[in-house]
This record gives sequence, C-alpha cells and structure tokens, in this order.
Amino acid sequence: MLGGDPIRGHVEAMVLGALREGPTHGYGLIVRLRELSRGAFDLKEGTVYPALHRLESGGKLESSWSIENGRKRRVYALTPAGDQALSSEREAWKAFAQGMSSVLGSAS
Amino acid sequence: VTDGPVETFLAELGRHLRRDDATRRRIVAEVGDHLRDLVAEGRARGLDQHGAELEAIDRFGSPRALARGLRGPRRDARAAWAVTALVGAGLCGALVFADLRSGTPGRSTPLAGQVTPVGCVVAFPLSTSPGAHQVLVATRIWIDPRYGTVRSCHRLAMGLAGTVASHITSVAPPNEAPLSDVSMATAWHQ
Repeated sequence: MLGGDPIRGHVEAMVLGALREGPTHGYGLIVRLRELSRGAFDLKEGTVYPALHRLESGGKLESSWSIENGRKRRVYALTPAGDQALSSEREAWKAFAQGMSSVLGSAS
Repeated sequence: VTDGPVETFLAELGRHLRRDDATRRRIVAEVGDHLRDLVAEGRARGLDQHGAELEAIDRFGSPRALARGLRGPRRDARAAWAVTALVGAGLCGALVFADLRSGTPGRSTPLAGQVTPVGCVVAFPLSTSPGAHQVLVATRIWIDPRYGTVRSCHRLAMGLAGTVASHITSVAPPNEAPLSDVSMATAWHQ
C-alpha cells in the first residue's frame, strides 16, 4: 500500500489536465476527472473549488457565466498561461514517473 | 426551497467567506448550483430529499473550511498586513512623540499622564500585527528609558503580550480537521 496520499500536491495539475478537454463547470470537471482516471480518482468538491479559484487567481484559468439547459453555470477554461503550466506539469510528472519506475523496477 | 441542510450550508458559507460582496455572491451561487446537481443525482439513486442534501454537502466539507480554501490570493493578505503594520507604526510613532512632549519637565499637555494607558488600549490590538509589535517593542522601550522602570516595564509587558498574541493568532490550530484531498475508489487500493 502506498504511504500518505499519493494525489496530494497534484490536484491543480489534474484540474488543468481535465480542462485540456475543453471548458466546463465544477460539477462537470469532477465527473470528467472520474472518467479520465477510469474511476480511480473521485476528488471532493471541497478540494476542487479551492484549486479552481487558486488557478484562476494565478491567471491559469478564466471563468464566466454561461447558460446551459436554461441554467446559469460558472464555466472554467484554460488560459494560455494555464496551457503552459500544464505542459510544465506534464514534463515534471514524466521525469518523476521515470525516476520512480527506475527505483521500483518493472513488474515481472 | 426549504431551509434544509443545503440552504443552511450556503448561509454558513456566505457568512464565513472573507471576500467582497460580488465575489461572495458568485461563490455561493456557484456552490449552490453544484449542490443542486448533487442532490438531483442522489434523488435519482433513490435517496430522500434530506438524505440527498446531507450527502451532497458532505462532499464539500465544512463551510468554514471551504471558505478558508476560497479566501482569495495570498497577496491580499500580505497587503492587509502591510497596511496594518504601517498604520500601527504611524500610531506608535505619534504616541511616542506625544509621550515625549507630555514628559518634558515644566510642560503640561491635555494628554499628560494619559498617553501610556491610551497607548496600551490602542496599541494592544495593533500589536498582534507582526510589524507593529516589533515597532512597539523596539522603539517604545529604547527611545525613552529616562521615563523610569515602571513605565518601561509597562511597555515591555505590552510588547511581550503583543508578541504572545501574535504567536497565538498565527499558530492557532483550525477548528476542523483539514478535508482530505481526494477519496480514492476501492479499485485504487487493490
């Protein structure tokens, strides 16, 4: 079993990654994260909203109200800075994963 | 809409959010919208209204913890501290100046004998600001040691109290345990 919470510290990267698929609202984002991870990750709203607002404050996301099925929804989208941050996160994760794989060894 | 768990949650969230009115309204509307989706999802799974609302708000954690997570950019907090420290330093400077004037031999001002007690009342809350309590400890004691032991001790006590208050406010533990970042599906642990 992995020690600690393996997702802690990666929530913002996951949010950026999920929004790469296109703009969506908070509820849609959580559903999307569940689907993209094939059910492995079920992020709580109490974690996702602070991350969304931090990313927006940092200029990596932008949000606006939109009408969806007659309902007003706050929709989030990646900004160019967010897109760039996602690329950096992807590279960092790749290096981390390669390092871990080398240390742990491949499954036989 | 009845005064169920969701309405209570949203009211609490609005009360704890330390943001401007427009942002607070926006966040409460956004969270309310999301909660409606979750409640509908729960109802579709056969939960009654009350159960669905309880399950929905559970995913958000406590309103106070959520409000803390949504408190806005850190630079706002730093700017607020800087303004508080500047105001505190200005007031402390004015108090020191007034104190020196009232302590001059042969001089009597309306503030004579009142400055230190007034200073204590004004400066104590300000002294919880890290910048201001340092100004208190540093300048108020060093500038006029000629005032004698009693008044210096008075100021030292005030400075120390400010330091303690500052530490208490900066290290006080949150009321709730932090919300777990993520709940993992059972498959992850297998």
